[in-house]
Amino acid sequence: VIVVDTILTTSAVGLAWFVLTSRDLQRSVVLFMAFGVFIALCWARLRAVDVALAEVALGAGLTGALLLRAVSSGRPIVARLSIWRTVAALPAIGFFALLMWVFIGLPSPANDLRADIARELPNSGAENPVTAVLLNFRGWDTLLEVTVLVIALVGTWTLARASHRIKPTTHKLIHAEENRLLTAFANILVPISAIVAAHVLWQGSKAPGGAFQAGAVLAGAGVVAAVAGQVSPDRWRRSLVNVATTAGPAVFVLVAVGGWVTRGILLSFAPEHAALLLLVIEAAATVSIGVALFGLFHAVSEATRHSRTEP
Amino acid sequence: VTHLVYYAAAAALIALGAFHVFASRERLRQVLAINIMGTGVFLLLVTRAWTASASQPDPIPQALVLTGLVVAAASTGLALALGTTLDGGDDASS
Repeated sequence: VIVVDTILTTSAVGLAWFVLTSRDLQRSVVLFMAFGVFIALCWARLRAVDVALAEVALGAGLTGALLLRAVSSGRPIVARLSIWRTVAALPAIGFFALLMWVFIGLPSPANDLRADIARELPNSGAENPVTAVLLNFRGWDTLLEVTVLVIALVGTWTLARASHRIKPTTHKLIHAEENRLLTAFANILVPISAIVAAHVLWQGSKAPGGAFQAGAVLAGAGVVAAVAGQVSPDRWRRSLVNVATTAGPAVFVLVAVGGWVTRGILLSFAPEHAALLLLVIEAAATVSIGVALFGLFHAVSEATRHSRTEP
Repeated sequence: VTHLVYYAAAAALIALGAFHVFASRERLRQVLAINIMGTGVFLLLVTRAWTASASQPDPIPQALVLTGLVVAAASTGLALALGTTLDGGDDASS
């Protein structure tokens, strides 16, 4: 097994090296997506299956799509070798040594909460401990995290709109490629992705899966549809995206306040209703995460398209 | 020993990313470097959650990494939009 570990980690680190040193940025981005797949295998090997699912959909998938959009607009900057680099390599090696020294010296977690989680799991409304931690035990973190996503979307959109003001163009929202193969592919893939997302969401209560993974799959389906030109401006409304994105945090807050009203504690769920409440939150969060990530892709491609039309 | 292999990978990713954040001149590559650094941190967390004996690793670091992944994707989007807007501004001024 140690052979597998060594192969996985050296491949991942090697890929990261090539991502950062390759002269061609487009190549870097594609290598980065491959790097994501290897990291997902590492997660699977470390039995963090929830994380592996999210990594494949997000790290290798959606982040890659974002980066590819940005790189296709980019003006190539020739990487220059400077003295700076060679000088900076020494502290980097020192940094690596320091990190290793710290990591090896790390004490084993003093307060292992695994036993507490196992004890409280029947009351949490989920059988998958990761889902229980995310939505019940540490619901506060997840609520704020979904809110961060909304803020990131607002920021990205504002930037896209700012570049829009500099250089007004036609109101076509996405740069659609005329490609029948792509259209056919999207026709098949988008419905399947929607079903996969629903399945991942549903099984999240008992097995690895949940709102994050399902949302990422949904966003990926949106990206495919957009690239194939199926999300046209007529059918597309920004306000709809805003509503869908805020729905996740809004539902979460409502349920949280409901717990406060009925039980006196914010974000507390009665064990008998917990399963249903978690499912409601997760469904809203899935839509929210999916639409927000898709909106991010959209805004980035819009921003880059405007910089592309720049002379 | 398994821990050691993954710790080494995590440290290598963090150091590699940190170096290129400072050494690279291309914005997109800096964004990539930050993502790789983040992955190194996630690797550290997940490695610490893992034990050879237990069938289930500690769920709390896993939940942390899950939220972290989504936030990383969101901040990458924001960084890219910022970068391209800045590039557009550069073009207009030059």
